[in-house]
Amino acid sequence: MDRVEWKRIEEIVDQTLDMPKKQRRDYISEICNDKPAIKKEVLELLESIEKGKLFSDSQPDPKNNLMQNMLDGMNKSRLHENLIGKTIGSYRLVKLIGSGGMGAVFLGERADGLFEHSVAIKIIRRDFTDSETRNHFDNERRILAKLTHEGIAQLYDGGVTDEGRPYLIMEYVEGIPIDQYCNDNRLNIDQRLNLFRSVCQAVQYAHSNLIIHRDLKPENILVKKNGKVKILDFGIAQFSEGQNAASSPRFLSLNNAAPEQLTGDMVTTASDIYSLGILLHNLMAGCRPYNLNYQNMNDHVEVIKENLAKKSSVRFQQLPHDQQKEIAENRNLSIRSMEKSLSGDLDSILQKTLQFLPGQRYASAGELQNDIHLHLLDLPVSTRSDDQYYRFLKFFKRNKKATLFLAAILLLITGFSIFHTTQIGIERNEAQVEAARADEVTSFLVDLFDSSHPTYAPGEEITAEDLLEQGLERTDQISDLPVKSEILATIGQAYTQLGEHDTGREIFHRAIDLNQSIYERESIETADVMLDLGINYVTTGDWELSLPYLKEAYEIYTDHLEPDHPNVVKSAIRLAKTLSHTAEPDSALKLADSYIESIEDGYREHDREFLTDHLYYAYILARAEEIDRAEAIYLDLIERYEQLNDTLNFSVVVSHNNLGGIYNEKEKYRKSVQYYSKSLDITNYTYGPDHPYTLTVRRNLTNPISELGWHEDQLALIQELIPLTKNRYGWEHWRTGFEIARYGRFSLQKNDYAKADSLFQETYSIYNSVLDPGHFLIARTEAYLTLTNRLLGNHETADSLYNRHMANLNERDSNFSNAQIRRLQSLIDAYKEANGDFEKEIQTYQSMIAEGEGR
Amino acid sequence: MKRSNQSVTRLLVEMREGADHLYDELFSIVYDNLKTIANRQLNREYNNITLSKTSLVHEVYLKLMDQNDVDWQGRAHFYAIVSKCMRQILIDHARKKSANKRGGRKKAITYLDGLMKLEQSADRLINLDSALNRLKKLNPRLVRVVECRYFGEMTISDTAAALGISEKTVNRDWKKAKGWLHKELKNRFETNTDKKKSVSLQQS
Repeated sequence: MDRVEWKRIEEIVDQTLDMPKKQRRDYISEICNDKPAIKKEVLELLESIEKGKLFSDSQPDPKNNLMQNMLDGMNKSRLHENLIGKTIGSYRLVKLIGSGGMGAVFLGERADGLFEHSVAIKIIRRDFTDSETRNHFDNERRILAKLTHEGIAQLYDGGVTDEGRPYLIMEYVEGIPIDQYCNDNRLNIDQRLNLFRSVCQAVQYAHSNLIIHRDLKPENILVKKNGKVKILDFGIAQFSEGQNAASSPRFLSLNNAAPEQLTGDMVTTASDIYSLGILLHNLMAGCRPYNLNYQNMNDHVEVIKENLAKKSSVRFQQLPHDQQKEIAENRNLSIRSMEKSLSGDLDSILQKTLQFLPGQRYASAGELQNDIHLHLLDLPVSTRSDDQYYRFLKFFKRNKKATLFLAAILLLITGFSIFHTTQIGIERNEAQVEAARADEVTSFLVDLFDSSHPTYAPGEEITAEDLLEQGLERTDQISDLPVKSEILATIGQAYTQLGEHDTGREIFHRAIDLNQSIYERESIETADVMLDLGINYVTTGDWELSLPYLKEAYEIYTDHLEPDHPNVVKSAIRLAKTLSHTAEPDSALKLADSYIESIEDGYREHDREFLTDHLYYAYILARAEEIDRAEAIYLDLIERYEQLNDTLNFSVVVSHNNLGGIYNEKEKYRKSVQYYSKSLDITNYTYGPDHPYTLTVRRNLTNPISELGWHEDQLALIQELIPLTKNRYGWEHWRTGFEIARYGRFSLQKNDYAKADSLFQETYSIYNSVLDPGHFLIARTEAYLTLTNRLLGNHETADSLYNRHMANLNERDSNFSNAQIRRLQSLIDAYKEANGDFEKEIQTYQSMIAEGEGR
Repeated sequence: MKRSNQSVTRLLVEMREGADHLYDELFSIVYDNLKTIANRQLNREYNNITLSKTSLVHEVYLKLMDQNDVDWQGRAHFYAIVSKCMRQILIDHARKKSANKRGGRKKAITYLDGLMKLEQSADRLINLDSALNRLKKLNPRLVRVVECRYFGEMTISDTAAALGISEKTVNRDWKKAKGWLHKELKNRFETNTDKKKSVSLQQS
């Protein structure tokens, strides 16, 4: 529109305005007949003019608002200046320390100067002329004064000045806003969470006293020099609200307020929870969940809803890279680990805190605090409790020691599920039953894990044994027999894994009996448990006992399954391993060799199960004296597991240990020490130091170390072995006696006869109480005691001991085992090394070995 | 106060004679006086801070003028100048408070209800100002009428006297100006809210 056009429009409008309203539009139509553009403009202008207002009805005049604000700004400094030096209550205003919409805060000191006491005095900008408002203020501040908590700035006093200005006298807190404190000190996520927990605790205290803060934000939450949190202005926001507190609040921090505060709905403790959520979001992710301003007033609710749907980790990911970097650095994290720490628990805690509807948030600050605490302890947080896998993970994280064996259970369970799922296509009905069963087993175990919380004391590690014991007790309540049998087998495996072989065996036997009563006698289910039982016996070296179970499992499998089925292969190899002890190692190797192709093929198809079979194949090779081939397989296995990034696998432990053995035999002692040590590191970490595997590896390690003459290391190992073994098996156990004897032999080598003698005596008394009379180990101990007594000059005792053990050894009706021969040989060595003439004894033992071998 | 009342009167006399450049000098004087008056009012009645804008302009006048020296027309003229100053002062303040201008790091600010819509008011006032600038190109007299009537809250007769036009013209101009601005601001307002606002994240 140009000036000429406008002039014409104005003229028409001027003329029109002189007319009665009714005639105006007719006139315009007439005069602008040929000018539709002008006509449109004139009609529009006329319409606005007839409204007679500068601004729309919905929009009040902005001028007054601005004017007031401007004058307030002009006044403020003067107002405050005027107040400095004045006395309020017992205090004199010393200086202005802050001012905001609510009023001004001054530093106050005692006016009488009797003692030093600094306070913060808040003068509230509020009309207090009517008595009702004033009564409310007086009542409320009395309630607030009762709020005493180390995390809340104390309200001391309050009142109304002679000029009618309400004031509050509060604890003076020197500190910095919590968000700034966290960043300045580069607190990591856990430190921030702990700080935030103390905020929650203070808020919870106030809430339990029915006091709502209404304006929780970093500026109100200070951290003092000593690192303690203080919340300022608790419950004070209400004083600047309208007389009708339930209606629209007058006082808001837009981006910290809960939605119901913005919409003018009821403000409750849940509103504070929401504000805590905003704070937590900022402390964690370094940003706000959203940013409201006064331009998008009408869209606030929409904006909030839209943004609350996002996860904090996602919000962080969407920040510009520079900002991400800065935020992560403030938390001593990389961007990647920042994302990781936000996702999961924290995301879900934040989502529950920042719910649009008050009823869906945490019911209390205490609950919020509790969930954060649980997260810090790696316990399941309430928001994610219905996720079974999540609960497993949490359990594993906090019980690292039990993790490996539990992981085995988990694998077993998920194995069930996967197996049964794939079956669905074939035998739908049956599969569904099976799948349901797998579920039941799973949830049984999940319940078991859950029972560890919250009844156990934090910081105390729950042991796998405790869990299993509870589990075993509960199996009696299971009425579904197949489920019960599966759980029994699982628990039996767990006990075996834990080194509690006897208990494992007992449970396996129960499961076998149960299976034979529900299924046909030679069912796959029975074979499964028999295989487990056989393996259990193998673990303790009870080869003869393992044989019948492994054999039966193998036979059942071969009858029912394809020859290359993993179970067939697995049982064949286990059986061969046992046979390499109980029969000719070469025949055992033959059995194993007939499955080696299946093993290779199976592994190529990425079935890691077959790696374990490899491991035992190598063992069988070594038994058949194919040492080099065994060595090659072990080395290859270690590499494969490394490639799989599974370096804590039990097979890795075994491979290292067995290589240690091979190198020891090859007299490469340093290499042997190296492999044994590695094996020991892993077992120590994954099974614990007193686990039978760990004890075995530790014992093995003494051999090359002894050969290398590293006596100090040897002594340390030996001395460690005694309490560890005792821990595991108890004092009255032949293994404990065995370890004490080891120390005895070492002392003997060091020519400490008295010590050796007392150690052998200890062993002797243990053996006598737990072993059958005439047991080889008893005879062996008697042989050593003979030597020590001779060396100590107790010839009478020596004579009688000598006669006793010689009779024992000569009365034997079976050959000496290889181990026994080795032990006799080391006895001969001890005699040879001893300071004295023991030719007679040496010759006797030597002839005994020669005879024994031939017998 | 930078100048004596005497010199203010002289300024006004000069201005009437066509010295428009003196506006700047008068502006700062009006501003200083606004401060003083605001403070005085505050101390007098803290409990009821509602200020009447008319009385404010009047107070500035009382404060500045040596009434003996200035005739009725002079007073009206002075009102017009103060009105113009008020427009300028308010718009300056609005620009400071505008949400649009405030970029970068945003601090959480606590608002009193009176100030709650401050940013919004500021933006609307700025819109009004730029609408007035557009109107000035069509008819500058309408703008002067708006300054007197809206910013100075002057009466029809004072406005007529100050601008040297008839009351009827003031009446008509005021109607036209309101109508035009109403239309203009309504459109502006509606386009503003129709725009979907994307909410950006900011580190606080």
